[in-house]
Amino acid sequence: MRLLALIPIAAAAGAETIDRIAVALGNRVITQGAVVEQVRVAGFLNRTPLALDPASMRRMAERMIEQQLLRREMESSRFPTPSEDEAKPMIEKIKRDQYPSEADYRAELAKYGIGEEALVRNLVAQLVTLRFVELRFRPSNTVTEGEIEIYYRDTYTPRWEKTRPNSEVPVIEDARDEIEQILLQEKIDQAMSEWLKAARGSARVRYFDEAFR
Amino acid sequence: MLAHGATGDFEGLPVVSVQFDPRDQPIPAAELESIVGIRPGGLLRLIEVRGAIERLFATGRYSNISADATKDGSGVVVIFRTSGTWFVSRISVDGVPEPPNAGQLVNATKLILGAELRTEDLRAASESLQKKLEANGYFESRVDPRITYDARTEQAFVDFRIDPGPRARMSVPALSGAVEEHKSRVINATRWKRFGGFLGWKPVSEARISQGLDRIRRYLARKDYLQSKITLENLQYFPTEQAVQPQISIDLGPRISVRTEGAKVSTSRLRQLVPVFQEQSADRDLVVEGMRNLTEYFRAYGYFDATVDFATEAGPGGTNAIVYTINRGDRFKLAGLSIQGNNYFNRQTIRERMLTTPATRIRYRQGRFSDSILRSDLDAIRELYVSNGFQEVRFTSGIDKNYKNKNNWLFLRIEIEEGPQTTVHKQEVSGVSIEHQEHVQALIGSTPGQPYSESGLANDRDTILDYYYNNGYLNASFDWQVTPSAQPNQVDLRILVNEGRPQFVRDFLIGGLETSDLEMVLRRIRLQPGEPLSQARIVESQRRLYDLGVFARVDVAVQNPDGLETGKYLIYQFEEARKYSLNLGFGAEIARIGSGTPNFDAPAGEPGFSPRASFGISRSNLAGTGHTLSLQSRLSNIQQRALVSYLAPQFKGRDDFTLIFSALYDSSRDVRTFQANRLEGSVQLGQRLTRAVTVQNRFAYRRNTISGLRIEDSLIPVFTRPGRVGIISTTLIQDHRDNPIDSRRGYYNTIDLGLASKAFASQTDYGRVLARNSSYHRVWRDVTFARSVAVGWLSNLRDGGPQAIPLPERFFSGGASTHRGFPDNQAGPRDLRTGFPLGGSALVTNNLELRFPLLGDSVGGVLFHDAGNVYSGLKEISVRVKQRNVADFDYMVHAVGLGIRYRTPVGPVRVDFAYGINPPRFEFERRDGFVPVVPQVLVSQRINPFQFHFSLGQTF
Repeated sequence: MRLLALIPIAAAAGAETIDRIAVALGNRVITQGAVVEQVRVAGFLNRTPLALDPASMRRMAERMIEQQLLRREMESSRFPTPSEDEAKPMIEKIKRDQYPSEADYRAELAKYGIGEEALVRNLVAQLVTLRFVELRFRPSNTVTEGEIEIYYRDTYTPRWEKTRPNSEVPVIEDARDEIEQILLQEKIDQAMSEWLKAARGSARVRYFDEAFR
Repeated sequence: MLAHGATGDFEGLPVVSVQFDPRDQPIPAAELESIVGIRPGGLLRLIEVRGAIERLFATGRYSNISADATKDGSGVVVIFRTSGTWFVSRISVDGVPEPPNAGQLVNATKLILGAELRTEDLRAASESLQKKLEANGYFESRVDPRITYDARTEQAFVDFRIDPGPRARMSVPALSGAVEEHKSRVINATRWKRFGGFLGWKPVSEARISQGLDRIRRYLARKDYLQSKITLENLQYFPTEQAVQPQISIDLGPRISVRTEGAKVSTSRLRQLVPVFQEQSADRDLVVEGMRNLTEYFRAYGYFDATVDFATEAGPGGTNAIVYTINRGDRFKLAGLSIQGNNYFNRQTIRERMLTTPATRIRYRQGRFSDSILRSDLDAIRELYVSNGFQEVRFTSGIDKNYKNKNNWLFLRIEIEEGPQTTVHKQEVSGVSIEHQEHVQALIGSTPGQPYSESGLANDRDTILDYYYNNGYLNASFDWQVTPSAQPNQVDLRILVNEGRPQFVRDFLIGGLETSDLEMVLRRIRLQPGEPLSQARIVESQRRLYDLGVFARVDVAVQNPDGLETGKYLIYQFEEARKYSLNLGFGAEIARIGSGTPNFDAPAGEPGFSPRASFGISRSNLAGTGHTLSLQSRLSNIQQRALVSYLAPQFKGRDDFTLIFSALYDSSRDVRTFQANRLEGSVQLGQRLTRAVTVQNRFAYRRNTISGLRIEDSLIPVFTRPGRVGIISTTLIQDHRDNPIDSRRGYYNTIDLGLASKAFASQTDYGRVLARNSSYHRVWRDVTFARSVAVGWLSNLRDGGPQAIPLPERFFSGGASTHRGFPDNQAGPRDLRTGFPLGGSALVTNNLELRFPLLGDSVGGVLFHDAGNVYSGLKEISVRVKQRNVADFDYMVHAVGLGIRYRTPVGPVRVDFAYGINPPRFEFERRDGFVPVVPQVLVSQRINPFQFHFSLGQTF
């Protein structure tokens, strides 16, 4: 490497930037390549048109900042990372549900400019984040009987009557489990949002505009 | 612009070379290669480029990184383009007269040594400085930050040049709120006026404003406005007058008084116990806390059934009163205490953790006991058991009243159910690399068979992490998992260590040395480049540098502390202390020191008064060497003294060596017999052999002359001769005391060997031995038995016998720290015509002391017995207790007595009352002035058997 330092730097002409910092979060970075990959994977999974415009890139970077904040928390609590094998059933399900053949699946990956390894990497990241959020935010939240009753009265019943006007609204005992899950998820989301807001407030985030042009 | 679709063109191509722009990178090449991980010959993978950027940025050395690629034949050249970052290496603020001092201004910048310097931080620092200056009256100041850079080490030196402008003066504060009737008193309370306003107003300083507001608060509290709120709204500056008007908002709140009913509590005690006064708030929590404190206060004094209640009463004129109603109840005595059920720990081990104390005759007349004391005692005992594996320990306690059929005598019973002891069955440690396994395993106390406890594991964690931190693993972590074992009352322990990456010293960045020698500094840093970044050594090096006494401030910081790089620069930023220091003192001594004029009526001494002045000047860090030259002088009517010394601490960079050169002039009359004039030069090399053992090797050359001799010089002419003494001596000190100021256990030995010889140009040849052995033994709880024996011998090595040794070189003894049966230096042989002490050539002193607590924790007592004397020669040492005749001084004088000790932070203040059992009698001629009256009249005198001594520190 020392010898390499003596070699004249390749002429700038003809050189292409293959990656650069898009966002710095403390001493961590999200590179432009990572943002682009995430946009592509999201497009593939959601089956939406590929959008690599600056606004889409910026939106994705915002989401990735939150993922980084969660990842930092995971590392400090030594949360175990799942192996890539755990993503395989998910990929099999995607293939099974969305693509008639392996060739179609491969063609779609190519259309979005990603390889399967990028897909696996992103699915593993999603998986670990979901598990961590469950562990980190669920235990401190419980749903009270009063909350279930209010939700049943103010939200569940009107929605049922609107969406299924011809069927009878289930009694609260039958709807309890479903409502409990909904409310619990809302609480988890709320707790996570508050935590992310606080973490974001204390983190030093720098955007590198050239990565979003 | 990253070509979103085109980057794939480079994926999988062979890497021809990896380059950096600029070529000079802040990270050593080998480490850089390891961090990047992309090597020529391999295939380019964009995910690896991303990882390389992430890792490079994580080093903290870069502010921006991008990776470019260009095709080169069939391969690809990868170029990492980097922008560096800057780290704060020095912060200085110059140009501001104190206050504020330089340290306060540097702190105001909130810049952190070693941290990255960011533009926004610099802007914030300037603003913060401006505010600090305005708070100190500099409203026209200009802050000019100047930064210089060292590109090689990425250091940024931040110097704030301040043009402070004039300092504003205080002026009449504008008070808002209903304070009209108090206005003038409030303004006076601030003490912002100079001489009551005759000389205008004082200059503005932050401390002055803050103190002024505090004084307003205290003034209003004295007027019962306990909830007043004083807020400094603004400092209004008037440029033309260069004056500041503090705008103060005062919310008086209601008048609240606090009083007690049912029992008397002094105002000062009430202020101590009721937090309403300190917190300036009368909210319910504080009032309740005051109630609890009052209850505990009375219970601690034996009113164990005391109850306190409170009520708030509305009074006239909107006043409120908090009235504590105290029902003291009967006064009890905790007469006894039993502890039962303790098998694992003996009673003494448990009692050592308890504050509860049964009544004693003097110290705790009612005992020490209350509910809260008992609760805290039980918590302490529980902690003892739990930390030794007794997780299920239980306690029951009960009080028996009318113990031994005596009214108000209590007996406290504590029953302990220890329960089973949980021990470690299996222990597994993971995450420790092979090179550390042996050390780490040896440091873990929670091993199979040992008691299991959380606190034990917490200790293990601290010990192991200390080990790692001291070996450069600054990110090491330690976790554990405990699972019940298959065996009952046993657990399996899994310890998980995450070592992290070790960090090493890359180099030192040293700044702030103006006159100090760099080599002197480097010799004291206990680290070398390439060594692990040990926290302990960093701290030790800092201590050694402070110990030199030439630096006012030694700041140590790791540059780029959060960066994940292996080699770290260590910043040492110095602020040299002032070169010169002066001290000036005045005092007086009242003792049996004579009147300062020739007086032959009281050879055993009489009370005298001696005013004293002292002056000292020191020049530290001579020629940047860390050495100190100082002059200390003292002037009184019994002593004139000047000492010039040259001190070389940590001589030759070694902690254990100290070299001192000194020159002394001393003319003193501390021995009543004569005025000794001493001119002395000496050199001493001290060496600390171990933590407890020190040796001092010394050569001294002195010229003694005597004046004001009170004894017949015609009888003993050798005493009056000027004498030059060259003496080489060695002192060995072995100190194993627990506390040198107030020892309770351990021992202390010294032996001093000296030889004065013609070989050292001495006019007198003699040898000198003075040895002392003291030991301290704990008899029971706070009771200590202390003993000390001192033996000395002077041997004349020329003809003439012991009398030929010059008077100032002889042994004198007696007084507060030797033999309390004598006034200062009054022991031993005496001149038979004048009665004045002559000193001797042998010395034996034996001191015995029983030290015990007397009142509370601060006042102690001592019973002592001192025996010994100064003898005319070695062969004359005798333990005989009876004086044969008035010319016989070679017998052992005994004294017993009682002492009081009052504990203070600087050691016990001591008063000793001694009774001499067999003090010496002696005779002297009555004189008329200097001339003996004719015919001769002999006066008989005896050393007063009653002596008292007042001093600081224990006797030995």
